[in-house]
Amino acid sequence: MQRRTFLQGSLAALAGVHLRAPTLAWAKEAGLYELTARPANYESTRNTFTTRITPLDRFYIRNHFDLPVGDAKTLASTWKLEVRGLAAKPQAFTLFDLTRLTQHTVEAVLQCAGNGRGLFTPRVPGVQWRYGAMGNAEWTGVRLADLLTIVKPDKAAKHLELRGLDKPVIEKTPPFIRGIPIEKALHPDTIVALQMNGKPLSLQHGFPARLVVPGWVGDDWMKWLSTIDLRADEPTAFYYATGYRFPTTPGAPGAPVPPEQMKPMTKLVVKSQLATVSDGDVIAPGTHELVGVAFSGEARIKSVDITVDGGTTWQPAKLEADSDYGFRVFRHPWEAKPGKVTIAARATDATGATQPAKPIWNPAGYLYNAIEFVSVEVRS
Amino acid sequence: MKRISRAKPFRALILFAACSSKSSPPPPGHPPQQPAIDRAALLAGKLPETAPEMELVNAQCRICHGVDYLTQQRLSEPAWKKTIEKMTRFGANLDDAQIASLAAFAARYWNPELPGRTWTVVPPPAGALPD
Repeated sequence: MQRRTFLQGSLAALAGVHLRAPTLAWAKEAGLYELTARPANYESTRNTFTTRITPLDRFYIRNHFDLPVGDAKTLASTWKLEVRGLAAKPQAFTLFDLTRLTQHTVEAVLQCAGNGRGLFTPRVPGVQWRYGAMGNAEWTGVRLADLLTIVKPDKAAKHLELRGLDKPVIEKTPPFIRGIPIEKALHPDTIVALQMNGKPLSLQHGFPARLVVPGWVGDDWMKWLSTIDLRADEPTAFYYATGYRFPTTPGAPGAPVPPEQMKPMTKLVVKSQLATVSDGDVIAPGTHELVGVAFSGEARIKSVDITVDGGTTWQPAKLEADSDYGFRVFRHPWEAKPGKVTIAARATDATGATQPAKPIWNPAGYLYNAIEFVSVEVRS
Repeated sequence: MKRISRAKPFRALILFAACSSKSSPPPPGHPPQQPAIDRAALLAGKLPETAPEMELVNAQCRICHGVDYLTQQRLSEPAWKKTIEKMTRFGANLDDAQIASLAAFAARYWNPELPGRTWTVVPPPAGALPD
């Protein structure tokens, strides 16, 4: 309890600089589900997903450990991003250095690999995210390729090992270290972001800088990014070599998967999320609009189909503007007649990939994208 | 147990400590010191505070994370054992007997038979928003 009190005190000390104290007004207007308070893991509510851009006060929060120590003002002046390893001119960039380089904006979905973990059967351990560990934002910052041009990587540099400022409580706990291949690092849409939806990153979202890896799982989007090591081989750290891996050939639900049959996750998979109806809702007869969002990894959304008869027939939904990596909002008018109704949305991306009827089970509960069937009752 | 099962919803949310002190003896096969299972309290994320294993939970698990990590899992005893063993590799200081005891304790309350946690909407936490 002493430690917790200390932590809360430390956070409170930041309030004057970078934190906004929660108020009851927030609970009425917006808010998040508190899945774990320490470290902070908060899920967006279902009705968040009616817009292309996710508002900051509704955006999910994912942490492995407590926030880095230090207030925002100190972090802004002391933080450095060290790019080192297999490079001719390794360099440490300050926040000021980054603000002086050309800024780029990329719209992209950030989704925790474990979004939907709580929906798997049999159940798997971990934070029991359901549908809200995702959001779409406009990220602004410096191209990682521009930083790499400055440090001049060796030809042997094939992988980037990524570290942030957050630290585990116990020394024995593996630090959160991830990696991406150099090809993705050099992609013009991969940026070191300083802003989210036009505002400086908040502390919970990685102030002063986080990596944005469009189309890829959120665990690669390193917050409080502090070190990039250019290396010839893949990282050997726990959260790359053991954690955040997906079976090369998924097996039966509950079946163990040998480590040699697991590989690092990269791209997100095609998915849709209904926002305006949820299981057990009682809905008045009449005209309603079914609204939600769809996205995929590195492909645009081509279509979203809706069923209101449990999957017997499907109708195309009307789609709003699309983007390379963002949410695509879908809408579908529905004339609700009295009775029990099962509704679902099914997204298909430009490569032809579509959502499966059943989830692809894996031991850590990653990349859930099965079609969600929502049962409601229509009555006066 | 009889009393608890008849409790109205709001009464079922009373903490385990209170429930256990007023409960009938537990069914055969369970150690007598174990608090009774109150389903509604479990779904709301309440803890069986008077269970003897809570001392280990408080001393080991809470060093790194809150107990809400515990109360949202729905695992079998072998799965709990595997998870707790992983935690010892991450620094939890538990011997084999303590691991077994904690796994049995956790599986008694937070097992696959229990529906998912209920959640409430809260304001964004400190640090969620920029200036």
